[in-house]
Amino acid sequence: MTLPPEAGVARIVRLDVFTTEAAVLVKLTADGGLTGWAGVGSGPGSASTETPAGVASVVRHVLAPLVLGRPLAARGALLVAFDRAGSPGAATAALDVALHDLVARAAGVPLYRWLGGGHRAGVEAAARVLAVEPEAAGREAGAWVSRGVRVLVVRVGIGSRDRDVARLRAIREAAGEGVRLALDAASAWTVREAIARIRALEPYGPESVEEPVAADDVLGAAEVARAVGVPVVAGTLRSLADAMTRVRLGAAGMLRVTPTRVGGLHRARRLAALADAVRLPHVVGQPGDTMLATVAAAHLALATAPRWAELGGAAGPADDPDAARVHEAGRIVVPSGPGLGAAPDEGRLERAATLTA
Amino acid sequence: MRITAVEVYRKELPLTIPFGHATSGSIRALEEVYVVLRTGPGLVGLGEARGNAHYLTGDTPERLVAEILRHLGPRLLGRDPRELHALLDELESVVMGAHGARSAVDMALHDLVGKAYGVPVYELLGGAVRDELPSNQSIWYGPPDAAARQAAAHVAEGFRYLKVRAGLRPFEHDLDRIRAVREAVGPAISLAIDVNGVWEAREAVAWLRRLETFDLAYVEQPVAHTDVAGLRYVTEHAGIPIMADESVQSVADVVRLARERAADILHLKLNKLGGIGALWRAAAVAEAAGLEVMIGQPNEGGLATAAAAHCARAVPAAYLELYGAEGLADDPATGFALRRGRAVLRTAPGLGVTLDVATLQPAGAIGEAGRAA
Repeated sequence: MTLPPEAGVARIVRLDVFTTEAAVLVKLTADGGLTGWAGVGSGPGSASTETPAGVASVVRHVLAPLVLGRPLAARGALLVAFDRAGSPGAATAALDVALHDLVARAAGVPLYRWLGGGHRAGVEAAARVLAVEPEAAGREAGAWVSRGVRVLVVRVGIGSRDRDVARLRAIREAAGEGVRLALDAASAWTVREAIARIRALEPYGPESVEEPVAADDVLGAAEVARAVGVPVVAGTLRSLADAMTRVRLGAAGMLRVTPTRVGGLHRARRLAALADAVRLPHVVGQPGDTMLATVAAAHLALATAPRWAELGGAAGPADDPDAARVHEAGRIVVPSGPGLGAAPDEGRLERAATLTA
Repeated sequence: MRITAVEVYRKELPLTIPFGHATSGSIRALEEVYVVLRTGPGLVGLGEARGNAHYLTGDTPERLVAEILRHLGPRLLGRDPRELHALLDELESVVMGAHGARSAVDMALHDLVGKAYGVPVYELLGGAVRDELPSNQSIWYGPPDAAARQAAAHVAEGFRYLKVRAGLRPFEHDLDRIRAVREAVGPAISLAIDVNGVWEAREAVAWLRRLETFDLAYVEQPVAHTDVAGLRYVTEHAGIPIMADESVQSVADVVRLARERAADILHLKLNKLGGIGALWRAAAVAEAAGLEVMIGQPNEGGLATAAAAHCARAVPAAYLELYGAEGLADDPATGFALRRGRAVLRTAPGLGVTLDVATLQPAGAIGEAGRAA
């Protein structure tokens, strides 16, 4: 579809693309001079399997022609056009977040406000226990709790059942009864293993278990969900349809919303809305791929009121690790200022392309 | 920014041509209820809901006024409208149902937030997915030749989507009217029928077989709104897509129909679901389940119609029904129009509608006193 030019409507006139070893950053400029930023991690450890060069190439050659010269108000049509062009989630997410940053800056409010957030008790910031050995894991858990964290994410499915049990027991003992424990199995198990191992962990009061079986084994997840007393979290959702399939099959008791995986904040909001409608809790998660993705997910969390949010951090020095501190005393916080409230140090970034309308 | 006053008004909007379908009886005027929210910085948020929607939602004007003044309004005073999600969640929990009243309040809150940010409401919903808003039109009961003339007149005006009211007995009367309309408008016009829930499931399947030759886009609410099993039966057995309208009274209904795949298309209306926020959520459920939606409305004034049109700009929808403010003798709202079969919004912050409050009857106010008198 085409939109006729309207006088006085802000248009996107410039698109800058930057790449790092593990991320792509995008800056959009509107005709009034306002800018919007986004960054998506790419490659191992991120929500995207594309390489940074691959994502940057899609942004330059596929998405830029669809965006340049278009009004900001046509954001919905742009997302549709990106899909038709076959854009992967990470590239679409980059543009979507930059557009959100721009419109919230134009309105002069922080992005979470633009998204309708505010006046909630606050969103719990989950911290991940990285240590594997029980004793070290317990110490790490205790340290988080002493800093105000009330939700801990624990990797399970590492080694034997006894090791998982010992780790979780140590964490529960160190953290105390009031702290919520979220298990992440990262697709480690078969259905039979998952049921046995989750049952063995139930005495320590886990609140959820994410991805007990292979990410695309929906029927397997449903079998596990029926057999255990802990809600199963669908951890790698890519679309609304994916979520609904899991809901209808009883494969998910909770939905994890990862903005860069689903194609940005607009779709992440719709996924959270679906969760609300079907009366399932959701959590917001964002791997620590870039500061900008982390901050964007923090804004989202303040708007959609998830059970908790597990947010990563910054990718490197150019990505401003200070701005990526979205936890404070166990709660999600965002930088003050309009839009995302954060932007990278452009001078330290490697520019891949500048395109203009 | 704080909400300082919640004012409620009523106004009867006489129809130049009364309408009636299988369940509404004859409607000669729309009995509208308006909400005006005022804020500290002097912004005004406007909302509207249909009062005499008893046959669709059970709402009456008196009930809407009481729900707004007693239950919903007090939650708004002193609050920042920009905390929209938290406010809408609260309004949903404070009173069971009350979808019409909540819709009017939700609309006024969205209007306020759009004005506060200097953007049209559709931008708050994710931005425009479409610029043109082609509405359908209804062909009411009457002899086949009259229906054919009415259909041809609508097509000449620019409408490309028509729906014929059906559900009369004997069925042959419907059949003759539908045939006459299809012959009058030709194959290029999208034609549908609306049964308003008066058929039974098995006769619906039999009769829809006889209608297959007319290339109907969909059949709206073939069976009673409470008969979800019947609706599903028809959906599974008919060769024409089935749209649920009266069966969709809440977001929970949308979830149920989507889970059970009891319909192919869901007709979403603000006053049934409880406002823009609820409609947005319902649309996400429908898309997730692979169902199409129609964004529509009951017959109501230009303010409520504009709110539906904002949703239609931002939410992907297969069909739109936005003719509901046509033929009103005395609509106090300006800023919405239907031209050549298309809904047209004014480009302005919020809903882009102005309301001539001086012509409304005050029905009560809370907060800073004196304004409503």
